Amino acid sequence: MAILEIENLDVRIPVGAGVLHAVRNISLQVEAGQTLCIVGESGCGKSMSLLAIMGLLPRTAQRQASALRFQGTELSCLNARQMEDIRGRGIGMIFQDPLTAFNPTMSIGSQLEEVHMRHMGAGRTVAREKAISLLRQVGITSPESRLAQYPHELSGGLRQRVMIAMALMCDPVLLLADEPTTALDVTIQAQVLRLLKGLQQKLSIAIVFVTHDLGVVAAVADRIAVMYAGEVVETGSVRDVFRAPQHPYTQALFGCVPDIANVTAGRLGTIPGRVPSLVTPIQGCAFRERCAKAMEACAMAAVSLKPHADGVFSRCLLSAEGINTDEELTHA
Amino acid sequence: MRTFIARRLGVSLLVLLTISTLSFVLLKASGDLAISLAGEGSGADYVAFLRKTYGWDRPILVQYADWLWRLLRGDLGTSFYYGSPVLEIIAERLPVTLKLGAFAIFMALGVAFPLGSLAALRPDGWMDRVAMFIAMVGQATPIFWFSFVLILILGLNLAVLPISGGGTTAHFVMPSIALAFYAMPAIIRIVRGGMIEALASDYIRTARAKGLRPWAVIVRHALRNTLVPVVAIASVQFGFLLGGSVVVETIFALHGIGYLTWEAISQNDYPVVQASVLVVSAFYVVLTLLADLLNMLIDPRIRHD
Ligand SMILES: Nc1ncnc2c1ncn2[C@@H]1O[C@H](COP(=O)(O)OP(=O)(O)OP(=O)(O)O)[C@@H](O)[C@H]1O
Ligand SMILES: [Mg+2]
Repeated sequence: MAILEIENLDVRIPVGAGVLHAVRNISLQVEAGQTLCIVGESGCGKSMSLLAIMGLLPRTAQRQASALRFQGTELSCLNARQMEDIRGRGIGMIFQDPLTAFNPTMSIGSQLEEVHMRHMGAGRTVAREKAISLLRQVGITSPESRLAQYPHELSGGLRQRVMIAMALMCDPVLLLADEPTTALDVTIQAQVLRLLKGLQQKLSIAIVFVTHDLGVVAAVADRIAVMYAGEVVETGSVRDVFRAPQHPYTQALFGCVPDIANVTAGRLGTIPGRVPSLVTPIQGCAFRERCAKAMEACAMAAVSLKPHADGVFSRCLLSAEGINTDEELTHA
Repeated sequence: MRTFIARRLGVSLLVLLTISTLSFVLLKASGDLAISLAGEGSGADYVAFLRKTYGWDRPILVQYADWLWRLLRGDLGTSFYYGSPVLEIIAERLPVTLKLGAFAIFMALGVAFPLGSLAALRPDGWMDRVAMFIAMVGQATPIFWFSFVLILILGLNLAVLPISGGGTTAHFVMPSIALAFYAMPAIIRIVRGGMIEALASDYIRTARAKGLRPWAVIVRHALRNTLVPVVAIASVQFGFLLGGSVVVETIFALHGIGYLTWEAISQNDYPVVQASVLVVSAFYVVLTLLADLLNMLIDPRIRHD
């Protein structure tokens, strides 16, 4: 069953000079028990997409979508109170920056407990037990004593793990994780990823996982969506996209990893050139100016997501014409 | 935390010592006390006699040490005018001023907190405009003029409150309103600014992501983070009120420290003037100390520094 269905999501933020088109017409779908990884350079709209799902965009931002469904419920039809009932309960969110995401004046314990008490109606004692058990599961030793501590007393890695525990307090059906493991060292990261996998299997959680780390993608993802300048430029099962990336942007991102099929760790590649401004309208393909394979036709009209083999979709004229075959890639 | 408190106490004591020294120096610099005490046209013998009686013929440092030593034992000298110990006079008047100041500051907080918070919910919305207008008017209105308006409306036209004197709690209402009006603008601004900043921060987004109801987000998460600057400004404002109550106490004939200071100045009663200044300053120091300690309870980051 599809837990999350997004169709043609657009996010526009008015900024001084004009309107910043942060998320452009993206469509995504996540099934129960599945993990979708979103990758892409900084500023391509990954966080904005997650916040749009939660209804937590900046106050001035405008969200538009032909569908934004959680467990079949159209989220844009819900009122504020109904949305509050879903946040933290059905959908858990792990924020990107665990330093600023915690309230500095409240103890870790009360910040964990309050979600549970808000949604589960079981009182503080039960909430505390849940918090302790989750903290232990994310690899925090002597969790009881941590509850009395304040965010500034914890290291970055600890904060990130507390953040993960907080998102899991009410056994959500959907987990939106915005780079949840960046501050963790490799062993802890592996442990946390195992925990998420385990919980996912047990409770059949759907996960949207934003990351820069291809090793993480390889470890957790079922499907992948590559974003560029607010658009999804390529999406498909992680196996197929890793084996034969279709879009030149994906190819460039994967470029610095020597053996993409057996990747265990590795950051995304850096690509020369700059991302186009999201304020001025983009003509044609957004990646064309940095693309080694750009042609005249790329500047003419916007390129749509085109189906490729194995259910992979790519927003590139070349891939549609079938030029980018596996053989060609190995020469590239 | 211990070291923080110890250091804070040390600083307070130093400030108190400085204030007392300053008040001693100022008094000495204000002229020859013996001459002004003797009155115009008194003989040189009488002036010399006074000088000797009060010990003003001794070296200045000896006088200072003597004065400080008495001060430490609670001896603030004798009033020139009443002839009774200054400490007794102050002790009699201080409760009036403290009551007035406390009423006023709680009134100011009671209005400024909701008003500043509501203003912050929608910056530039109509509530914000109303709040900023009130703050501006409060800042621009002279306190004596506002007091007269109160007297005119509440005291004379509607005749619901007594105009002068300090016999009952009702006597404190108008002067407290006048003082509160004077203390309010700064607090409104601080609450509004702190609230706007808090509401825009990441942890508020986290609180909302947890599905907390708006009141919980505002009261439990945002308000707590605006308390620190508010406590700081409120303590300073309370100190201002103690000093600023001179005007209000005089207008409403409330016999507090402010009124006493005014009387003492017009009667050349230097020991009383000096003691009043000293007491108000000491309160100031104690208040800021209390504010710091309170803020340590509110914000763990200060506590663990
Ligand atoms: N509050 C805001 N107001 C205006 N523009 C914003 C705001 N927050 C983000 N943006 C812009 O929206 C675009 C998308 O930002 P977003 O945070 O989604 O990027 P991201 O893909 O999550 O990047 P990163 O990997 O750095 O987290 C960026 O161009 C960013 O500058
Ligand atoms: Mg982000």
